[in-house]
Amino acid sequence: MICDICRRNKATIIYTEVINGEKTQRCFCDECAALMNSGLSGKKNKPESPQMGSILSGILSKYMERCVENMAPSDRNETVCPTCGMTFSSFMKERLLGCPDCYSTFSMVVEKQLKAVQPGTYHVGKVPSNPEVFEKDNADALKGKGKKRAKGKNADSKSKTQKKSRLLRDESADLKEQLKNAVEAEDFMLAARIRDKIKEMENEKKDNKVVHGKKRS
Amino acid sequence: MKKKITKWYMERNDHDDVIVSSRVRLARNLSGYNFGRMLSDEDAGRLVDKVRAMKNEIEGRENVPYYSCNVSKLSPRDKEVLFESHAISRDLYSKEQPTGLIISEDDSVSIMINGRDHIKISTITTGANMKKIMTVANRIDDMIDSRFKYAYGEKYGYLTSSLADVGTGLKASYLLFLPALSSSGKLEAIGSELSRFGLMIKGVYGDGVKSPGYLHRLYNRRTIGLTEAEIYEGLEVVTSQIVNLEKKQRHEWYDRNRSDIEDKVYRSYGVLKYARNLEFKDALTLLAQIELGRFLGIIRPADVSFDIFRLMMEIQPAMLINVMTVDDRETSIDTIRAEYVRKKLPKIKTEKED
Repeated sequence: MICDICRRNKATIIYTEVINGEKTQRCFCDECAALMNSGLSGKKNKPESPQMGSILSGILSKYMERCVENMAPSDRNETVCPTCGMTFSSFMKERLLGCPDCYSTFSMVVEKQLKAVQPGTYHVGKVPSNPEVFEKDNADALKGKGKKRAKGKNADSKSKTQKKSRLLRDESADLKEQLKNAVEAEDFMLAARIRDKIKEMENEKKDNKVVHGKKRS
Repeated sequence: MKKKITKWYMERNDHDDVIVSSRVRLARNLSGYNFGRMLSDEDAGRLVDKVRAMKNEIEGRENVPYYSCNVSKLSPRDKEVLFESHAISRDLYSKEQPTGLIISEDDSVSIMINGRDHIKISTITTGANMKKIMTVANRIDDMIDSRFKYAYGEKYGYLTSSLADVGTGLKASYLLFLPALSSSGKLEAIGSELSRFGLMIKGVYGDGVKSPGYLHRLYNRRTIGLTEAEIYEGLEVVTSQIVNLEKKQRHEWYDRNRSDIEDKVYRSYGVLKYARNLEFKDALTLLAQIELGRFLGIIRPADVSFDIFRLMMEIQPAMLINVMTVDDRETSIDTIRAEYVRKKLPKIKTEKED
């Protein structure tokens, strides 16, 4: 028999898995089996290759999840998304959100993470024909505006303010880079000046936000 | 799916020496359903059925045959073939919940259902043609948009399960053939430079920057804070610079190491022509040498229509077994691959002939 993974070497290990009474048999060569155990398999993306080393931990984590699910919300000392039940720790672990409402449930972390993963944090691209808004702060703003939105004047003015805030962000990122360089070059006078400029800019941004918010309500 | 159909990778655009293919992926989620990880099995089934029902409409509008299936019910081999032709993503491939797929006959357009996100629209073409596939992806997106309500936030745009996709949900990418840049070690430097533009480059078949066959995928990391056009146009600009760099580097490299490179090219041809066992990654690297030799004018395939990148696609493990329809479990895949390459490899004219 030839190894199921590499289809090259002779299979020496026969692996039988029984899930819900369904039996599947797979055979591996020494090499592939070793790779699987160390989790270094070049083919680890294939679902068909059971990660033997991780089977036990898989079972354990399933069990832990059940335990958490069975607990009353008050027993848990962490934020849980009311819509999908995604827990804070699970979000942090997997780095995947559970539903649209998670964006507001975990808004603090989302913003932080987004800045780490992406330089910008404000969408300026395509808009669906019938957007339903999930972020809490904006939900009220959209109410009563009816179905069609975004393609009229409203969108124009909005994208302008977006563009402006984007420019501000880019500029401040630039300044931060300059600040870093100045510190590295030990030019502290310059660094101090840049720092002040950044501060000034951040204040300006805050003011902008307030105005923006007022406009909407 | 075993009919003789021209797949997207068999179509030859004006042969591009560096850009092998262009791809666009749009991540979308429907409101009213939890995202991938928190989606219940029942909801997953419902989601797949509902979106799959779009097949006829898409087929009617696009005017080419489309197929739809439950990916989770396919055999591992069929799934692998779909994966190797870039029609489905890794997430969809490995998911145990119901997952669905609507796919055009030539595999160039695919709509993955219930992968990491509810819907992922993927369009792909040979060579460089981002605008064309972006238009197709947008058209499909609008069709789905008219039937379903997308999860969308004013601030964060299209909401996705991973923060790496949020905003436009757009991942545009080029598959690049970069033998000179990656052999000379310049790719590392380029990689760190690219991150400043919100772009990333990674090896396709290997880890990190080194990749068998010198195939690398260049894509946008940044998905929010830019419009769709800004994303793919930025990518286009950077790519064209990399293409020029690569070509320049190839010539410089050849000028400095003439005999070395000629030896490598001919040697690779010899191995491919006469080997009886070929591992996938080795075969990729050998084919890459031949393509480099063709580019530099060292050898010329007698058959002008010969496309090395198509052959690279076809010798992937699952594809190969599918094409050969050999189900003899005792024949090693490497033997089948060597036989296939021997059959497809064209005769060559060397520089001294004609």
